Amino acid sequence: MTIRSVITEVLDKRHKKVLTLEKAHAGLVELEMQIDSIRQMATDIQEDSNDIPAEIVQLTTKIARQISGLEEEIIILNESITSLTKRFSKETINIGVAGKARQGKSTLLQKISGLSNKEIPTSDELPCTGTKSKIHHYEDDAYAKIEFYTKEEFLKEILHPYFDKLKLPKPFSLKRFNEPLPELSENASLDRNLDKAIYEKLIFIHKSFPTFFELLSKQPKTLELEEILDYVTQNEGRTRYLAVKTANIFTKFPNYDVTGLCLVDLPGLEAAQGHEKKLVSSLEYEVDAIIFVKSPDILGTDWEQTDYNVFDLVDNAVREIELSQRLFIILNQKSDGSNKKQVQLLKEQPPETYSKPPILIADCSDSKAVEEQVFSIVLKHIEQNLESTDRKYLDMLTKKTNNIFTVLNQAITPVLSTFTTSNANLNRERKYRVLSEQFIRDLTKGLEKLVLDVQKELNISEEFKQKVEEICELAKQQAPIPNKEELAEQYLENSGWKGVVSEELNYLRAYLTEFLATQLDEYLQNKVNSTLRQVLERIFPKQLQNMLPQDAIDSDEPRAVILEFQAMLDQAEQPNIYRTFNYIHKFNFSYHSHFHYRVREEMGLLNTYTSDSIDDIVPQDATRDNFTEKAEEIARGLETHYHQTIYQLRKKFGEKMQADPANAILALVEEVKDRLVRAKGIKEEWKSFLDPIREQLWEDELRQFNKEIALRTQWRNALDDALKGAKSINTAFPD
Amino acid sequence: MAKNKTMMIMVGPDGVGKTTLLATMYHELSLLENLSGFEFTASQDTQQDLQEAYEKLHQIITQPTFTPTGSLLKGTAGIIERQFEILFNGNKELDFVFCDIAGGIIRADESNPDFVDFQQKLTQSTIVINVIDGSALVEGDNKLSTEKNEPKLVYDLLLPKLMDNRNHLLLFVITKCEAWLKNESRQRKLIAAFEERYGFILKLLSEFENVMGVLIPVKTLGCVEFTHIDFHDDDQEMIFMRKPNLQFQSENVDQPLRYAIAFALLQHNQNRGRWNRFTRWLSNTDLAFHSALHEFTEARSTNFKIYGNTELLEIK
Repeated sequence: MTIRSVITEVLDKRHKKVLTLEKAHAGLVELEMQIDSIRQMATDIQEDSNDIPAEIVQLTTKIARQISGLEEEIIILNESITSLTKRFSKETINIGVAGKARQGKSTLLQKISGLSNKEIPTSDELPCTGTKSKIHHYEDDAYAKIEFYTKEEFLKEILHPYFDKLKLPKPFSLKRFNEPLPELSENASLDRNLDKAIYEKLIFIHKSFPTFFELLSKQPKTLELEEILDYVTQNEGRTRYLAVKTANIFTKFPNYDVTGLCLVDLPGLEAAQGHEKKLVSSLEYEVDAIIFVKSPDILGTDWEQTDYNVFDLVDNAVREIELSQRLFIILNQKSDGSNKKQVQLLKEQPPETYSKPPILIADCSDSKAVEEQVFSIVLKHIEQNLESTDRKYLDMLTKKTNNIFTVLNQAITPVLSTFTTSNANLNRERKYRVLSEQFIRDLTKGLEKLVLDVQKELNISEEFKQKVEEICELAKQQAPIPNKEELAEQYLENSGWKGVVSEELNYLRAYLTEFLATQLDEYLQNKVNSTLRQVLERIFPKQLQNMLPQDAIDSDEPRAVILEFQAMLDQAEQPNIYRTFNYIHKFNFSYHSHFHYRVREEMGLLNTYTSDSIDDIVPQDATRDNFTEKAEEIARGLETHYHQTIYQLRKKFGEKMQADPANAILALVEEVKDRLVRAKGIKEEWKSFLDPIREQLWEDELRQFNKEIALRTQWRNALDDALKGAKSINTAFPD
Repeated sequence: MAKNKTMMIMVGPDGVGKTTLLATMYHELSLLENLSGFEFTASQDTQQDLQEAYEKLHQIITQPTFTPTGSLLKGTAGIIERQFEILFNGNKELDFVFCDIAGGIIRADESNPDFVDFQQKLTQSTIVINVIDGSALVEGDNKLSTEKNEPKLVYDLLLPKLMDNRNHLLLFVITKCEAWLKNESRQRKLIAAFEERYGFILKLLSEFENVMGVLIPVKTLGCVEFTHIDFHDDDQEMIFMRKPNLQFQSENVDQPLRYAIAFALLQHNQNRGRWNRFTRWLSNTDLAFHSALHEFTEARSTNFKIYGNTELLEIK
């Protein structure tokens, strides 16, 4: 298998994992939110545990404690997954080449890629630009592709780190950056000289800004190889390189077809260059292996601190993979042999790292040596280990995912059933049953008591009698009987007593019946309304009244309440209750329906159908000669007939009709009671009425249960979702 | 008490119409000519008093506006004995003493001399007329009816006197009942009201062998009718109306006296001594008397309701 096919196969496998990794990432983001929300729910319960069963309070506190560390674990895991996704999304296998300036890094790159100083400038003349170069193996004609920073990237990734380091106020736009730079304040910090150097570099970028800012956010530019120097070096006052993010060079590597392989010229770690951030992100996900080039100084006898800085950076970037799997230390043995001794010394005393990366020795200016002692070994390593390294990486993540699932599972699964709502549901149902039965009992008691009250206390008979007497007395006092002078005048008009008396009798009769009707009807209506109100008060407890419109409750007309209540009923479901309220609504006990005809029966003495009354009043000896004298007697006769009629009415009301209103009202109340609480199947009708309005009716009484049920449901769902989420991430995670 | 003397006493609270009844009753009787050989004469004083009372009554009645009478006769404050004689074929058969009492006496204290006198007269009397206000009886509620007629008070006094070995005639004479004598149904209502309110005494009468009760509703005036009751707070006033087109004409007022005389004569005849009976038999007087008494007795109206021992007025 050639190195090219190995690369192709690995890339293919990686690409296939990307979607799964992205899903796992999204799943973990979701899981993190779910766990956060569970912890928040637990905090809420601790802060307000009123009406919450102690069992739930204890359990939720325990769960919150058990899963408290998971969020951070998930965040770290997800960062790893993000890096891996980026790594797996790449179109190439990248070998990063790192090293300080003048250690032979660029020379090594030239020798591997077959490029020259024109494309990859060495730092022999000027310091490294920090421009990242990527050299791809390409079988056809060589070319270069320059990628520029976007304006935002340039502001945030290039400029802001300078301002941060120098503790200067950060510009929030490039336009603002273009304004004069803030002065660097004199400070007494330990690295004030370093700050000065960094500030000088910033001044340089600021000064050059007008010359390159137009390139920012530009589309990548494809060039001939010989044009590349304009973009990657600062020779002859060039400043364009400042806008370049990556210089991609596509060229055919000598000796091997390594299509799919890319060499990445990693930025150096020299002070004041500000490239560390770029280096770290490259290490995290851009490069699959790193060649660290070190040219031991003839005076140097040991690994330097900056070397260890690099080892740590590489190690920290991908903790999942051991350093020895990714890092190759190349000791550049100069062709003049001047540092041969130091090379040997360092080779024999490798750096004291946990994992021991291979140390290779080669003269980086010697193409053959580079090919044989460096590149071929690195390629061999890639060929043999790339796939298994990927696998290890994935395994590590799978293990972490699995661990998260295990912790969640252990915290949740044993207690999940505790959050079942069936008990709380049963309790709520039981409470509702008690309440609804109490409602019916209260209704029964209320109506039974009303019947007793009406029998005992509604002393309407006596009251009615008094009312009748009062009205009779009033009718008597207001008797419209003409005096003798008026009668005498009428006599003259009618030329006879009989006509006068007949007319007066008719008038008195009409007056009296109308007077009684008006007075008694008002009284009876008030009485009926007052009884209906009492009936309704017994039927409707306070809560039920609260469900009716206030204007109906406030109304003097109790029938308004009845209509509103009927509107709440389902005629098909509660036919008997509905009909009873129809009956109540239509109940009427009026003067006209019950008394009028009987009053008419007593009008005999004021009647003119026969001449009896007239003959009784008009004296037989009344003549034209004595009409003034007889007028008084006739007035007395009329008065006597009128008074006698009132007396008869009063007696009749007292004897026969006195109890009628009381009896009618009692009958109404008894009928209502029988229909509403005693009829067959009526309790079921009441229950079917109460069932859909129970929450409104007993809001306070059921609140505790509802709260508990809602809480249990919420917790059960939250825990269930988190567990399912974790399980699905765990199951789907690539292995 | 002399053998040939029958005491009759009239009882009832004031205002029920005792004197009006007496005056009209006597007036009616004086108009009757054929009493089957019997003659009923008042002493001079009595005749004068009753005539005076009747005239006064007549005068009041003829006025267009009727007002309750108050006392018709002077002296009814205590007890007046009105003396009558019953003659048969011109010979005196019997003294008939009619005790007219002031209504208030029945309510008097036991230490009151009039009350003691009244008790004595009651003991002596074999004929009692209990005058009853018919309007109060029918229209009055318990309170009014009791107040007007005092049945309980009357019979508390009367009942012990009936429990002796003599026979007694008890006449329930209902006055002021013109409005209920217009037709049969109203009359039935009157009788029903009487039997309801006097049920307690009627029940006792049914157990007495020596008492006969007769219910006699009478029209004393005929032209004054009860119309209604006026209510003044707690007081009730019975209102009567002088009917313009009705005549002052009594009806049945002679009947209580007819019953009383018949009873008195019957009792008198039964109580004659053996010798007296023998001489009367010899002279055929007894037969004639017997026949006349029969005729007199038969002449009374028999439409009245009888209670107690109905045989006491049968001639054997």
